Amino acid sequence: MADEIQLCFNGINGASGDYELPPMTPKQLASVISGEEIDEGFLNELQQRRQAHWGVKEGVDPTKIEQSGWGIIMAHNADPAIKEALSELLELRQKQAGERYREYLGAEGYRPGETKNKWLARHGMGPGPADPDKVPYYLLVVGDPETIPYRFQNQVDVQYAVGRLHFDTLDEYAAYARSVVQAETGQVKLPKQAAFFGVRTPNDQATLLSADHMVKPLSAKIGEQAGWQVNTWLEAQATKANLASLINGGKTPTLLYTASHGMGFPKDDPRQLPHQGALLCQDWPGPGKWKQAIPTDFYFSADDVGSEARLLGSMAFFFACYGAGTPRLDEFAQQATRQRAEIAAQSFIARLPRRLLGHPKGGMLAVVGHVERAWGYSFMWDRAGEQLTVFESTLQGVMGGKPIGYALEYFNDRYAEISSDLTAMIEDLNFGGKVDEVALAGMWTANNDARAYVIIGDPAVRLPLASDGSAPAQRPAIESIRVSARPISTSAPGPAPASAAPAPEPPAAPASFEASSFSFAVQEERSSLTDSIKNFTSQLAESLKKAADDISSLEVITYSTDDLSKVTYNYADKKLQGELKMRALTRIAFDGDVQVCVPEKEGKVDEDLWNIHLSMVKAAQENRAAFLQTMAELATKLIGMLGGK
Amino acid sequence: MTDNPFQLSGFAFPGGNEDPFGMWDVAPATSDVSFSAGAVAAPEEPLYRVSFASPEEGTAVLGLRQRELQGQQATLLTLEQRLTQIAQAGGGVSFAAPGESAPEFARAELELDAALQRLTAPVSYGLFDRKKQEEQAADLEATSQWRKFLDHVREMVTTYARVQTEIAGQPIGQTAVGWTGDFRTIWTPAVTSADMALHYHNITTTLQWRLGTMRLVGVVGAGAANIAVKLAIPGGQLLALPAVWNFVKDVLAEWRKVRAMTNDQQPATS
Repeated sequence: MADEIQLCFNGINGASGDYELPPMTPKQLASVISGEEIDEGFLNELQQRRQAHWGVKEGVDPTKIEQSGWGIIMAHNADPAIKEALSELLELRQKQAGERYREYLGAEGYRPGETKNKWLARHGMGPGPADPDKVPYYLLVVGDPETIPYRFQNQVDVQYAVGRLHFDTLDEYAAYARSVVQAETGQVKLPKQAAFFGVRTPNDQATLLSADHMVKPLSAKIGEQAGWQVNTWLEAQATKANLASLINGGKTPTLLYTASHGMGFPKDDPRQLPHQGALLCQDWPGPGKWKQAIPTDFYFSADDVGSEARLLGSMAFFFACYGAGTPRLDEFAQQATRQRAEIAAQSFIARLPRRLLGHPKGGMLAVVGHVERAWGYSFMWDRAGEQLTVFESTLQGVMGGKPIGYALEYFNDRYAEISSDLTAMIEDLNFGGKVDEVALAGMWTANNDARAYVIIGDPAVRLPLASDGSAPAQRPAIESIRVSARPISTSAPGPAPASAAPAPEPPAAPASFEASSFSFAVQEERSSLTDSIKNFTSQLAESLKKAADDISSLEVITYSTDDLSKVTYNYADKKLQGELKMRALTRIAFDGDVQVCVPEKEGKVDEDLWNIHLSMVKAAQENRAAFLQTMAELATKLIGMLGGK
Repeated sequence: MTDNPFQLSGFAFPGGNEDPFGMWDVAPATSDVSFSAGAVAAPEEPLYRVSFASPEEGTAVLGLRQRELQGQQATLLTLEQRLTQIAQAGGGVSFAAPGESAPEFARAELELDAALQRLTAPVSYGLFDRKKQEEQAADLEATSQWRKFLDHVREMVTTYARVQTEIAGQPIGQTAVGWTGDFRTIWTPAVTSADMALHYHNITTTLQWRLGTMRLVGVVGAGAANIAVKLAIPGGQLLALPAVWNFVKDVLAEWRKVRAMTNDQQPATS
């Protein structure tokens, strides 16, 4: 029965016109899933979150930035010009958050390969609820996902409200900063208008589901929200032309919600960077009727956002594959090799949300979307049917004026809950237990779906709504900003992370790049020490194995020489070299055979030499036994040390 | 120049380059040891060189050292148990539990307690970038010394040792002891049976010291790992290594001091 069900995924390959991921049975999906590795540490944290609703600590109002705090995280070597371009936004947040404002830049910034726990630990925080006195609840990551990975963002997002910005130009950063400042300083007052845009393509299971079980019911429920006018663009109305008119036509809704396929392209396809994640509209005839490359006429991409568009203050929610971005590696590990295929040359944020946020006339404040593939399964739960509570609660929060990062906490709760259940099922599966494949597949898709929603933009932004009873103001446009024509450098000027080197002179100025590089020197030395312990341990283990396999005899040889200083030991062939005369030899095989050469002196046994030789044999036997035992004990202790036990 | 007849070269201990068992004067390695895969160059292997004025003096000194080693290795077992108790002790950072251990432990435990308190002070939570530059320099130095030390210990236990005995400045015998236990002994022509017995005594004492050093590394590593759990600091086992090493070294030094005083108070025998 389970094998008859076909699971469909939201994503169309623009190059072939086929589905990005072919429909598969739950059994097939379960097989793929069992190739996944489990991050146990992170799982424990998710389980803790499940047991106690976290976010900020008790007594802190997450809707108030002065209590919850705000911080910016950049890569340790980020171009300082980016911070400069964002200065209007940073000044505003500093004013709002006061002493709970933080800048994690330079030495305090994100370092290559750093995990969430390591980063938090560096700033005085362990796992658990956000304590804004240590690390702010609202965190804006600035940088591309190749430098600061999506995984880091997702993990921090479990307890904190995290958003991300990354633009190609400084002008876009500056435009976005100004857009937020204008929206939050009373210069933008938008009407309570929302638009729901739902593609519904014949014979396409994914959009049939999302239109009928997500867009329709969600727009109906949201329409009941006090004072809001909700327009729905469904099926035949969900064309590219209509979406373009919504975005470019001067009547951009305050909140735009879309559900559609997202465009996917093969790695290295020239359209991947500009068009991956673009929204496939009703113009696409469907899977049975179109079997060739998808033309740009069928989908709405960043290229379609006009230069005169008026977007300032709005927010969008794109339910679509790659709608927010694409990771470099496929989320689907191959079961046989447990390796993830590269689906892009590098991780990137989708061009469409970047264009919407960095628009020169003033941009949207935030776009919520999906990294990697999105699944309809997340709003259809097994026999329970439609499950829209998370979406509904999030949207109501946003429409009620809550900061977007806080409103999205419902997704984090859902992620924590599903992850715990999913991992238990995967463990059962890996240990040969019987697992309901349909339930497993559903849990898997829902888990990926909940984890992969990200905010593009500042997580503390909120919709700038006209207050009840007052007339919304005409949506303004910001003045054109020209910060610098120079390209953004991928690393800041200053020294690269230092290798193990003598301690440099203390820097004159605090928090300089010298301080940063010095910290790296300590870290690298520490990492080198860990490697030494690992090498030591593995060599001990290897030697012990060799001892067990190869040592067939114990050999004690006695020589004499006229000049000891001319005798050398050849390290390569492990032989003594020089003028030597062998005087006595004892070789004891492990099977009990003993070979002996007895020393002679003037035709008689050299008693003195023979006696001392026999003592040496006894010492060698005792030493070998004690040495191997001590070696094994040492290896055990060092392994325990590496494991932190 | 030193009067200590026990000279060890091609080796380095962390924190002052002092032999924790107080037996060898350690000459630093002339170069960093390279263990890169496929390296052909011979590492500077440890050379244990012992020089006495006469076989009689050598026999007496070696006997004394051997007894000291036995006593210190027994203390090492107590130290291991004590470190486990410290790591398992309840309460906060203060682990020392005065009155539960031998007198030679008391001062060293206070030092350990202070060192661990420094590690767990709020300013040093996480890694090191918040510390002052001086503290960072100390961290860097301590970590670097430990890396070199472990590389030397690895070399010591996975290749071979050369043990040489000299009388009145002249070598009388040298033995290469391979890691699998094979012995290659070379004697000089004028060697006497008393000389040979002395060299044999030297070998057994040196090998006893080598086993003791391996055990000591294990005790320090396991102790640091156990305490790291208590400290709950990322990478805590590496942070705790120098503190635990100093603790072990201090206790052994105190043991030797107490023993020397005890011996001094005993009437001389003829």
